[in-house]
Amino acid sequence: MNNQEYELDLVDLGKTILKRWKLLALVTVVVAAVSGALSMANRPEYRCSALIAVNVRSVSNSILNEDSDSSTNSNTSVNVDTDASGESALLGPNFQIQKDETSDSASKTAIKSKKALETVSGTIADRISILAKLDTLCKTLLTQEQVLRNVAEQCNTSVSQVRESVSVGVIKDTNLLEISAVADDPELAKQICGELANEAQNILMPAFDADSIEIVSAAQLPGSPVSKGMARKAVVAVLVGLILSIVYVVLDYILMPKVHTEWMVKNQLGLKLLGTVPAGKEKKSNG
Amino acid sequence: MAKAVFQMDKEKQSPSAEGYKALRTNLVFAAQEQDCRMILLVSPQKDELAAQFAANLGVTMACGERKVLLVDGDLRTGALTKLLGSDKESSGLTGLLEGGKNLEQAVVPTGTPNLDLLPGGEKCADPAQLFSGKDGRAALRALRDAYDYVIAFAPDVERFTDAVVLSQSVDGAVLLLDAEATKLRKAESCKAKLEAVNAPILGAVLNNLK
Repeated sequence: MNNQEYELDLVDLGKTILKRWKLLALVTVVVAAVSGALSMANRPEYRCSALIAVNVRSVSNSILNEDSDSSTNSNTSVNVDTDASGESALLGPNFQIQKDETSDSASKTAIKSKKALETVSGTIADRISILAKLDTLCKTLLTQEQVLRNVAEQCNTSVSQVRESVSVGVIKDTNLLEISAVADDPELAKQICGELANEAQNILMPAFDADSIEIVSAAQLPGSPVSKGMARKAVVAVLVGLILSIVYVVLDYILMPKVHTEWMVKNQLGLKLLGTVPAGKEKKSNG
Repeated sequence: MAKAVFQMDKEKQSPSAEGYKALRTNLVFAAQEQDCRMILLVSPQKDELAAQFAANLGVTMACGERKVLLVDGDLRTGALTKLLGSDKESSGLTGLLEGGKNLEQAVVPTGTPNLDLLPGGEKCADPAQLFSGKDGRAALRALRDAYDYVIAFAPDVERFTDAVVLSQSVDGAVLLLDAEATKLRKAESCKAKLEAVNAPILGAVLNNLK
């Protein structure tokens, strides 16, 4: 009998995997050790950040990308001034609506309040629109080649180094621009971050019709390197090692099965089983 | 005097001993039914436990006052001879098959009652040639007359043809399978090689079962 099809016994497969626990442990340890060694070999990185508050009244036409099908921006510049109460509604947390003090009826007050509310809604919509564009615009402006070159010259490093190390973004739902720089040298990281923050002030002020571009948190010398998530990497390495070794054992079991059961002797080899001898304290010899 | 590697008196209650006893029963039954008294142990692939198994089987078979001869057919390395560690000089199987020596000169005692060893003798580059010769086959057949049971041990079929050639001179071949090591494909290949020469296959033994 020469069967080409082999029956896969999952229970037996599971027992086989457990029997090879030493191999599983060895491969797992090796993979984890290699992963750990590679992580340790990498140079530590230092991250420095600065926060800039961009108090935008409006965005100038030359900067805004016109959204032609936008129904909310009927004007080319977003006018946040309102006439609901004769007072301008300011962007930011301090906007307020003043009731018309000459009104002597609740209905007139209600109508005016309603108009004010609509204007505020429009103002809020405008604000959201500006903030949404702020992130994109700041990134575009601050990662221009000339800006990076200026920063590189000030920091006495290469443009590519600056390009690879910086990241720019507005913190969600705020007008705070975060500028970060990562480098092997903490001094360099601080220098790049600081120079770019200065460039941001110079660029963003004319770009936006801003009340102010203010550095809220200046670049500070990082005291410790960025955490590389060693614990997470170790867990991943252990899992990878375990999976690789299990896959090897399974493939070995399926592709190169060993004759280890009575069923296999009788059904797959087609031989009479004369006896079985359990494993004992046998001496191995070169046979 | 050769050293016994498996002392039945001390380990006769062990699971391994029970396994050997069950095998002995089947082989004795086969001997009675089919006059099968000269058995060849065949390994499909290199098996480090094969020589030990042959020695243990010999010890088990020798219980009950049966005269048993272990034949070390591995003329390249003499694995069984090394295991049993004979001190007596003998011409061994090589001397016997080449026709120059008699059985008494070739055989050595093992220290176990009723169990003798026919060592490999001088190393031979082409044992298959020796086994297949007319004198060789006659000498091997003569062993049956001197002993109740003859257990021959040969190197694995994967590397050498010695076992396949020897199978022509024995009453039955038993495939020795290591449950932790013998690949199914190699066992199938071994069986096919034996069947190709019409070797009398008695069956298989599953050794080292965990």
